[in-house]
Amino acid sequence: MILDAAHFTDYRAQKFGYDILAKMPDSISYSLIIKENGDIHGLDDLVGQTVATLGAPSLGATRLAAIFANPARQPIITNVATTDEAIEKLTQGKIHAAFLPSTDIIRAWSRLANVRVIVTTEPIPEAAISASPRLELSIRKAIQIALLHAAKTDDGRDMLAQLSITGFSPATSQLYAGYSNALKQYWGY
Amino acid sequence: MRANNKIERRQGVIARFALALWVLGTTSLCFADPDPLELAVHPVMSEEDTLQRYQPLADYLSQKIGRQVVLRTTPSFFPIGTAYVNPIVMI
Repeated sequence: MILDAAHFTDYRAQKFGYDILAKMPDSISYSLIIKENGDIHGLDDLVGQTVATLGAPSLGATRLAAIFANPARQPIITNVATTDEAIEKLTQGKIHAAFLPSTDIIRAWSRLANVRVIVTTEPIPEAAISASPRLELSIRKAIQIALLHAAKTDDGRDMLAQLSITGFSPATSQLYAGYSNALKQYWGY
Repeated sequence: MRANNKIERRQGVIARFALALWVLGTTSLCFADPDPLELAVHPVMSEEDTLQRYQPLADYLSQKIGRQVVLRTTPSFFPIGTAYVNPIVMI
């Protein structure tokens, strides 16, 4: 089983027959944030400047590559391991911009003095849990039921509270179809 | 002669009983301890935070399906050698 972003979820479903069992609630979008008092005012100003995002082929890296599609006009991508690392580098002036999940930016907003959002991507389905076809169907079904009904039981609600979500949502391969196209630009996919 | 036969029969019964116990024991061991299931989580947080955050999910699923669920993640997307570099290793 794996909990992964939309593009990898679709990739596994298409290529390896993974069964998508349930998804995290809501959708996810990414935002590009900059320091307000700098020389950066828009996307064009970021060409040749440093932008931090989670390393390729993360969802953030693929979305950022789609924004800067012209190979001759690219920012310098700085890979970071976590959202916090990107925010720290931005506030310290070590990078010019950061491209991060909008929900993470909202969560960290109180720490983000003089920071402005210049682009937000369209929302796509949140990460989903999918299971290998090698896993017995009965176990896959039991896991799916446990996930989708978690909000109805005390132990399920405890688990959801620790994940800071209200519940898992139903998911299908159709919902994620096409998102794996973002991986085609990367070697091996 | 008759005493010897009696002893042999008794030894046979004991041997069969021991064999039955051994088969029962190994079979129940197989069912009691199947391979744990692995739940991998994409590395959008630090490895430590990911494992800490999603452990309750692994515990919950273990309890619900009656089989151990082990949490796995990678430190990040980009270091060479991580599962994400190669889609075959990734699964």
